[in-house]
Amino acid sequence: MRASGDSIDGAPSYGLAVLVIVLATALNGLLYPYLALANLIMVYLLGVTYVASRCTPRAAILASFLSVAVFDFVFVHPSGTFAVSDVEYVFTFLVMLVVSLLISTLTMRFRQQSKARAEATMQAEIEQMRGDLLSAVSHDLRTPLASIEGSAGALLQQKELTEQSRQLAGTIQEESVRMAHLIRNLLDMTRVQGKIDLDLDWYALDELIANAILRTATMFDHPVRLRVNPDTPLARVDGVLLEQVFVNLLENASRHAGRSCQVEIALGGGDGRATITVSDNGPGLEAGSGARVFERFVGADTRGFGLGLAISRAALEAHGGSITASNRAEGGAVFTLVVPVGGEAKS
Amino acid sequence: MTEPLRIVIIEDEAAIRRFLRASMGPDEVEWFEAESGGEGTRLIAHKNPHLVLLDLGLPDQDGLEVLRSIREWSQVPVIVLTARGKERDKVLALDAGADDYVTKPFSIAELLARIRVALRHAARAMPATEAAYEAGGLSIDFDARQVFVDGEEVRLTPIEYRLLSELARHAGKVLTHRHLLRTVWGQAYEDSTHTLRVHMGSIRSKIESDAAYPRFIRTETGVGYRLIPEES
Repeated sequence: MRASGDSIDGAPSYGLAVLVIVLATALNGLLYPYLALANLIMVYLLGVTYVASRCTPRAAILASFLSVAVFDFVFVHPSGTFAVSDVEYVFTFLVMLVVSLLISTLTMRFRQQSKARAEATMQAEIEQMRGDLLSAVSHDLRTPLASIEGSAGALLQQKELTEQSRQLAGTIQEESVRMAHLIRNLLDMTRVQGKIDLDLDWYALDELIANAILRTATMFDHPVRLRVNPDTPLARVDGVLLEQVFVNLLENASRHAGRSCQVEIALGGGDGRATITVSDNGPGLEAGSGARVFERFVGADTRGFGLGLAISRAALEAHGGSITASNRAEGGAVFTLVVPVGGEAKS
Repeated sequence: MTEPLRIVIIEDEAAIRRFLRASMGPDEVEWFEAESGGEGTRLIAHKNPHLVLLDLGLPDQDGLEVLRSIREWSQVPVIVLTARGKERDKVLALDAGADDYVTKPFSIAELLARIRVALRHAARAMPATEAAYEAGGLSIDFDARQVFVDGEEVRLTPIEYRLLSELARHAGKVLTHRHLLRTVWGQAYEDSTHTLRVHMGSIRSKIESDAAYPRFIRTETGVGYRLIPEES
């Protein structure tokens, strides 16, 4: 038996067609004295049906043709010849042809569908395994990391530390914080790559943005400006994930526009959606890199995997929203996020 | 100097127990360490600690179960240690009686701040009897039901006032959405996050001057709200 039950193709299929017709002819030879011609045709039709169900349409056509030819040549009087009166068997041939083509096409379609299903299942299993593996790895990395960061922190609290030791402990602490951040990005990436289970609840977007500003406060010299249109409706979103999107955008600004840049965030809403713009006064995007910045690893450098923006796009898309990047006329980059809001309040 | 604080830590990672012990010396804190839930519960019963640090990811027992069994007979403040992304676990732990949480990896400063808040609330037997709240420019007169920001009176609706004063009575402590909804609106409303967000938004617009840098109310995404305590 062939793997996943592909249709038999090529020389073997023609061989099978010929064999089946030979067998049908032999059987008909035995039945000839007892049955009418019309019933002998049925035996051939049975054979053709079998060939069509196992082989490609080409072998089925061959079997149909052979059936009629052999039937005509062997059984129809005068046997051993193709007579002009036999033209009526062209009709028999056509019926057989249609039946065999129908059956072989249907069988092929059925096989293809089950094959695609099997492939999809396997793909999903691989995705699942990869996700499980990555999240297990990231979890196992975070536990020792918590110990490293905590130990360095405890060390920094010791009063009798020399200046050099303090600096070294400080480095350990900062770097472990950075590593925790990278692991979080990897974890988020595995989350948004598969089927995302959004933990939806009602949120005020400005609260999420303010939290993101707080979490990235050490990355900027100047306070981030936030303008909120007070009419912005609440949004039903995955708050933790969306807050991380804002953190990623702020980090991206700090990385590319520098810590001395001025970031402005504006939040407004209308027509069932909220629009958030995150703009900076840095060098802006390279010409023509508009959509590319959201691809994985594009922003990768010594400070990260460049996953932040890819995660952001996947997260927005999972919410039925969008994110785009462009340059401002007055200089600097601007990221525009659209989040669907409103809907029915369950209250 | 009074007697040192007695803290029970239930955590299976030896390295975490070690740095916690190192961060608060023996003259400040007397540490009792347990690697498992069962051992920890016994320690709490025998040592009568001031505070418990409980890891939610214990190998032998679900940390939540440990918490629930402790809460059957003890009101000792419990701070749970949990991993990021486990917002549901945090909420479950808080609703099961945990006083607060820190997310691993956490900084010592963060943990100390949480410990201070939890101890302060535990020390006050009846927080509801306080007559006033005052911290960082926000003051609330519980008798007159008045709220002031930097000396200026702020007019709040009755619901907003009850929300803010509930947060103030537990200043520094995170209160879950469910807790706030149940306390202010009643049991039937405990899933109406939408209502809560609307009123919190209204309070923020009245008492916060800069949406980007709230001075008083901290959103704990996916968990709840806390009033920022004066020292942090």
